[in-house]
Amino acid sequence: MEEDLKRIGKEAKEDLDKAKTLEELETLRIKYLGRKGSLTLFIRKIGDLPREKRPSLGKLANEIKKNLSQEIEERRAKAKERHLLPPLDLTLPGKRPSLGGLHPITQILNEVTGIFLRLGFRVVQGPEIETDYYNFEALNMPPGHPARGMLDTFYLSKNTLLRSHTSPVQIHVMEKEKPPIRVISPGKVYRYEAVDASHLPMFHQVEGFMVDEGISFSHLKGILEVFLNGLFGPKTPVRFRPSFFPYTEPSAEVDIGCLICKGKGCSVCRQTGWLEILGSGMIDPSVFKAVGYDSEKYTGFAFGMGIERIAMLKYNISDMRLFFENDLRFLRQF
Amino acid sequence: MKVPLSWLREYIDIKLPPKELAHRLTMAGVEVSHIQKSGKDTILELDLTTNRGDCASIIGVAREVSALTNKPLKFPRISEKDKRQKGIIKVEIRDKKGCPRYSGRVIKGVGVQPSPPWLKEHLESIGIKPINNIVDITNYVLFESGQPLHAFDLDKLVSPLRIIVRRADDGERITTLDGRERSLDRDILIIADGKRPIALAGIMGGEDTQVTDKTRNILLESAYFDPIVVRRGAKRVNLFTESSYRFERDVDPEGVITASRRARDLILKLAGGEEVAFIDRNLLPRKPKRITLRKERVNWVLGIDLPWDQMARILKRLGFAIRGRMIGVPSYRRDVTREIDLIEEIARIHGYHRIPSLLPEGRIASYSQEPLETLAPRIREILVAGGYREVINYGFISLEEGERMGLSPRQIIKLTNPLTERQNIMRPSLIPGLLKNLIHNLNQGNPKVKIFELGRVFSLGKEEMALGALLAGEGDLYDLKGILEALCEELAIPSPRISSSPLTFLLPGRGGEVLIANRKVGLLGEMDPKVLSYFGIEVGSFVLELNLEGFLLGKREKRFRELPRYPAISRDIALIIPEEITSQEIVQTIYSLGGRLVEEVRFFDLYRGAQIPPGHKGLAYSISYRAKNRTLKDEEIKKLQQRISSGLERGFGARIRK
Ligand SMILES: [Zn+2]
Repeated sequence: MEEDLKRIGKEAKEDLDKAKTLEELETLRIKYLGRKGSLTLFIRKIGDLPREKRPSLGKLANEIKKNLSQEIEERRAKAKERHLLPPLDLTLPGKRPSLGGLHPITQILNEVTGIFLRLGFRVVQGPEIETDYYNFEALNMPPGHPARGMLDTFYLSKNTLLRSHTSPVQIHVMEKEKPPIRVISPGKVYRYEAVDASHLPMFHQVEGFMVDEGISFSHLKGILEVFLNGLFGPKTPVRFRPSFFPYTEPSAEVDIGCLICKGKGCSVCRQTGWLEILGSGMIDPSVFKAVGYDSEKYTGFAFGMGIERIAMLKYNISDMRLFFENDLRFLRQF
Repeated sequence: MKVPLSWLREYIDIKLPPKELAHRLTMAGVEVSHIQKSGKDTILELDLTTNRGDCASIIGVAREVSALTNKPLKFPRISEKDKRQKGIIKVEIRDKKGCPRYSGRVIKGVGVQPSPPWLKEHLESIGIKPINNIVDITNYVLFESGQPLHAFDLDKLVSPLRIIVRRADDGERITTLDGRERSLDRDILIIADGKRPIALAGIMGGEDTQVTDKTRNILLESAYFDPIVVRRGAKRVNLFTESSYRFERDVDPEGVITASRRARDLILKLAGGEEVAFIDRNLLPRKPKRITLRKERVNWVLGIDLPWDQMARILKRLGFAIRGRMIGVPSYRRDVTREIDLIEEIARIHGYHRIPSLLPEGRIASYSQEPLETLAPRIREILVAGGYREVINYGFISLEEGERMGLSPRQIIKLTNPLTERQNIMRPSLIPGLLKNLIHNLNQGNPKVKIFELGRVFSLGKEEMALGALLAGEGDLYDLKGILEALCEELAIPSPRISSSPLTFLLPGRGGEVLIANRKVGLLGEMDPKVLSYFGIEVGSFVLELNLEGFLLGKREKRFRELPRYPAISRDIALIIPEEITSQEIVQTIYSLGGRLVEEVRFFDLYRGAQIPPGHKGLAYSISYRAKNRTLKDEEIKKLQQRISSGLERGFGARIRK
């Protein structure tokens, strides 16, 4: 018996000398000290021996066990400390999980709406199929209005059409609610336009508007500057330029300093140093009239922007058609 | 519109360098899109908004410059005498809305010849080809004043001279100056003599009455045509001219006569002849528009604190008349009709850059977001985590694609003016778009396609949010079903069931409707190869489509369940059963035989092969047992496992594999 025990002890010592890595040390621990380890089994057997043999053998066995665990512990500590593991070639590529991803347009929409949500706006979506009334008439574009010509429209019948802008959402919301209103509305819009690198029959817009007592043009400037600095960086130059939209008065086109040439002038900004990014203005009293608001009491501003254009500028994409081809090699880049 | 600086300087002194001038104009809403050097001259290219017809002339632009730089205008000297002689010209206006003002002037004995160099140069500088002195003068005045004019060869008109302004009869014809014969209809306003159309009102004159080298006597037309009527007519004949451009943007009704006089002065000077008669039929109100302007309102809307003097000064420079708070609108500002329009004039001349930027303080609306708005981002997240990439497709597809998807024509929404036959109906499903994305990617050498789309689908009277997903080139139907199950679990929606009801474009027995709590909310399955081959696809493709509103109806609140305190014990069971028995039947049986100690039954293997007799399949499950209040004993588990095994043997003729 005692010899058996000494043999186990010797074997363990030999194994121990060979064990280098943490894994090897663990295997060794299980081999001798695990639930079914040889030393453990041996110690269990001691209980079956005649009473007089137990103490000496038990003492020896426990000593061996104690030494072994101690030795293993020390080596484990050393193995952790000194780099016993073979080095890895870290120039080899990692094993990547196959991630999905969001469409670049969704990413920009999320960014845009995210900024406005932080400013207390909420998201409302309108229908893509609209009536002439919501798309044009209620927005101060009665039949024959010249601005209708700029919004070439797809029709489904004489009176129903695919919305050519997101502005009808203003009417839907204001018909249902009273101020204060802060709404942002992303969505698809449709234009009867031949396809080329910068025109598609469908694209995305974000409409926003804010209505309450005492909202002025200076608030329109303030909110949109916060937004554009959030989207394009805190030092982006922003300018407001008089323009014309039938549903806002006064109206402003909003430009940012060209992202490509930083204002020096290049082909993207047609040498002006500025990029048109937003249409905006104070909501026209005729729009308030259409929704039954008192335009003496309430004022408000509205704005709209094309998302594909922003994505093209941000990511330096020159052909708009790529967005809806959905080539995975394109989508994976964002 | 082109504006040569040299020409502009004839009406106003400009000290500003061209670039600065262009900037000032742009920042006042008259956008200069290009500055172009042309010899010694500089040409500004203007991009006018549709409301500013008054700027579609050199004098109009000069007026803006005058307001911006506080310099007086220099107008050309024009004789105000007209030869009002009754009986020589008869004008009959039959469409009084289309033509509320028409003037005609007869000049006899003109000598038609090439224009002098100064006139030719003016026209050439804006890209207009000189023709002869009479035509050139009408063009020159058009660009100078913004009022289109037309000269007829008087001797080509039927006498006695009668001008009729009316709508064309259906099928009436005219050959216009550009040599094209055009067929007309009721939408088109024309000028006719006693016999035939001689001009498309406000658009272009007729060829056979045009002024030629042989012309001796002319009728000079200057009129006000209605913007909407001219726009509709130009669109109908698809002819857009310098003249129609201006009428569409509304010309100055008071400028009609001034321009006619200006042209007459030039004709008499350059072509000789004598004015014989003049007629002015004017149905427009003479009273100038007046608007009350409140200083407080201006400051309230703009968020500034401008004194009245400054407001009045701006308006005066733009040609408005100030009488106390009453503001008289000049006749050329057809776009200004309300107080808010005056506020805009003040804002744009004052300068938007001088209006401070402020963040609003005040009330914040309380609101709850639509459930779909909060859940859509989460749905996207789950799919992305599952390795799916988002696509966005057009809202329209082709009728043929719709039919391939088994749509009845009644459900289809057609576009009345599609761009192409490939996009002529609104999409009733996201699947055709996903299939087109698949074939595009296969053709581009991307063989593994895992995509999804969140977008609207359309059926008669309805527009709904749908989720579509497609898997091809990797995985199988169970992978796609797995993402559906993951969605349900993450969103706290009851587990989905797939019905065996056949769907037209899915392979029979390999797909069906998705049911949540027995409500149909979508479909899942393997695409029928016949449909796939229509799209040019030859690989197996699996699709999922959910109506999101219906899907999310099943959503419940998430509730925390206490974490178990006692360990679970799991035991595997593998069995061989006849093919027709479904996994669901087995799982339900295990739960009911095992009782409440069975915590979960998890499927982990399906196999067919050498050891399995034909008509059978092998299934393997891992059953996890757990009690709430104690650690289970081995014997208990053994007994339960035994009961389940023999139950499955008896119930399904299953053979339990050991
Ligand atoms: Zn640039």
